Amino acid sequence: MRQVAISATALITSLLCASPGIAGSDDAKQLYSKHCAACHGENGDGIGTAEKFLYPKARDFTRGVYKFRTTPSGSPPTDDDIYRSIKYGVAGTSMPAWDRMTEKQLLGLVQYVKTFSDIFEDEEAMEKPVTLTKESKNTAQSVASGKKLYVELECNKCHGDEGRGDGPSAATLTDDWDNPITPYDLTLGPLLMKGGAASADIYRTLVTGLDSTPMPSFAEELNPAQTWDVVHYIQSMSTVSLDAASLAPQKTPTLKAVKVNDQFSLNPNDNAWQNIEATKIRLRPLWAMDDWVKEVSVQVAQSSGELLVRMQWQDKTQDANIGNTTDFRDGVAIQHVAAASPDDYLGLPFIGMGDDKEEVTIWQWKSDWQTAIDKDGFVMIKSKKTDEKSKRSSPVDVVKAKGFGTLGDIPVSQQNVKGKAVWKDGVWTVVMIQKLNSQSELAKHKKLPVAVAAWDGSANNRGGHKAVSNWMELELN
Amino acid sequence: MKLPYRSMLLFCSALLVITQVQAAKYKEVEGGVSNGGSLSGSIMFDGTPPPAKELNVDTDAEHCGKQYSENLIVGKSGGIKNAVVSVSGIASGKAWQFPANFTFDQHGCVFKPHVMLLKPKTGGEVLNSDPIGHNVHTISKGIFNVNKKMKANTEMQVKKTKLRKPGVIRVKCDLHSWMSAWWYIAESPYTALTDENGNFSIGDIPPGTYQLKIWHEKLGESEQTITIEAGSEAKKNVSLKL
Repeated sequence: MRQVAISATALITSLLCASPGIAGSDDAKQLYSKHCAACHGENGDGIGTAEKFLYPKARDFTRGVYKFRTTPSGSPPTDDDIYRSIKYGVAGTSMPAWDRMTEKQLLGLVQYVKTFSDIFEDEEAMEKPVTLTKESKNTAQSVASGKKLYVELECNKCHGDEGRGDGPSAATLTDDWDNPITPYDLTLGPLLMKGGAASADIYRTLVTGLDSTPMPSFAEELNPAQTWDVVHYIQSMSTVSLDAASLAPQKTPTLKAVKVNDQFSLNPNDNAWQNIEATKIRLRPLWAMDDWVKEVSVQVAQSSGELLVRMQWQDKTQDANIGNTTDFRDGVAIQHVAAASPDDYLGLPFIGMGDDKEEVTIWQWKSDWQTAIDKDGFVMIKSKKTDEKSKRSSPVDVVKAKGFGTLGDIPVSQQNVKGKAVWKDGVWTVVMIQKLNSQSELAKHKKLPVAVAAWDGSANNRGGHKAVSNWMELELN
Repeated sequence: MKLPYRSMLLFCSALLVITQVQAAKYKEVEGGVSNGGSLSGSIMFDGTPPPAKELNVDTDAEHCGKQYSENLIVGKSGGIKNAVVSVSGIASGKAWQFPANFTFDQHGCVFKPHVMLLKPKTGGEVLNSDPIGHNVHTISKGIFNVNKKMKANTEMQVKKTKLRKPGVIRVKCDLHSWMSAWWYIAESPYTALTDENGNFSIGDIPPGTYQLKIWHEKLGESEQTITIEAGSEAKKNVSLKL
């Protein structure tokens, strides 16, 4: 009888565990290969084909060490910890949020990522998550106590007396792979803190530390009340004030083309745009740059014959006249895949300009092209492939790519996006318009995957040093 | 969260654990090795040893004073201290006669000892006997990666489950970038750490031909073939270059 029970269990086990989506399943492996391997490496060692374009570097899963955990320092993360990093991404780094994947896909990836290190098979290595205590009142007294502790615990040695990340030990810091690493500039506020922006996230980071980085755990040094005092002091150093809602992880938005009857002019400040809902898209830098475009506000309108996209973002300087090789231009680009569905992650190409199976189309606008057009009525755009220049009347260049480094031009006769941009009072406003005729890829679809990238020239953004979104869905009429 | 799915995952990964853990672990043979041979020798430095490098003490200089690198210590005889010598590929044999636990100190802004040779699953205590704070940051390939801040004159325990398998763990202090140490977790008790004259000796080796592995933090890893005969004493001296 007992034997029967055992073999029944074994049978159920083999059936359940062989079903798709579970622990190292084919689906998870394919998803990983498609969307994760370019950065994290096919073998999980953090050395993918995009590795050289990224800083901070993508996680090397083979070491079994993770920064963002609820478990004590020196312990592997829980499944939920890995799940959170995949779903919401990591602020201020190139790790995007994959919240549009299904629960099953996310859970499958968690299990797949764990297969790269045997530490997850060692039950004894695992420790229980730390206890998060209730937040104390954020009073002047708490901040003052936190300030005292900040010096006593030598936080200032790395993060600096004023929290600017410039303490005496800052310059010598390296991570576990011997890559240089900079302490966080606490005056930037919590939004770019990699461990999360909410009070509880900062508390947790102090208790667990960020393993594999120089940020240690203060679990032995601070009691809960003191930990909250340090959290409050850290928050008091922020020069940015934010409400609680903006501190929570953001969902990847869906863009909807608003049906319009009016004719829009090419003027980016056409009044008609005032009636079109704007969607804010947070961008993440591929490289830790001085600064980058952190958010782009996107509006999409669709008339009977045209699709119109307007993008706005803050940029203190208009980098439009490129005189020297050390000057860089501002820019924005929107990428789409005509042949893929935004919901099918196995059919969707890699976010980094597509892959060898799926081609992406990119509409790119550059500030110096705009300057030339405003001045002369035309711009000479150089081909990435042949170096030949072609004369254009639009500051928007349409290109195709099948993976990074594969930008390919399309003939001038097939360039079908017009546009215009203005910079005023620290804001760029760019309009791109495509005629929805037989030449238009967009005219044939109801929804398709899109992504946005932007460059801030005066912060030395150029080429792969840019800020990007993940794949979003664009709904058309 | 879809609970049934999650619990299924847990169930399946638990099964994986049962089937996969406990691979290739050294076993002590009851009664020890009866007709073993022994091996002794020295790890020598080939060439003129460079003088100990003075390190850049850029923080807390008033307490830490001058510091010199310990990454290559060559004794008067030309022997190299802190090399780890191991007869590899022995899956079972004599009992471990390694310390049951360790003490690792931070004193005068120096980790002591500089290299520890331990058996897997050794617990111990980490001390900070300095009047200033340090942080103990361990770096390894999937063994134990901790980073804990330690105030002046404090101690903390490392559970024996943490040093969970053989391999090399580097230790550093991020506040004092020159501080460095190594914890070497041996695969088998046929492993020795060279003394200040570069000498080592390993006993009760089952007869056979083996690879002798040498690890040194600065000089890297190298291998030699050795043959151990029953009841006899083998000698092996190895010279290493920069």
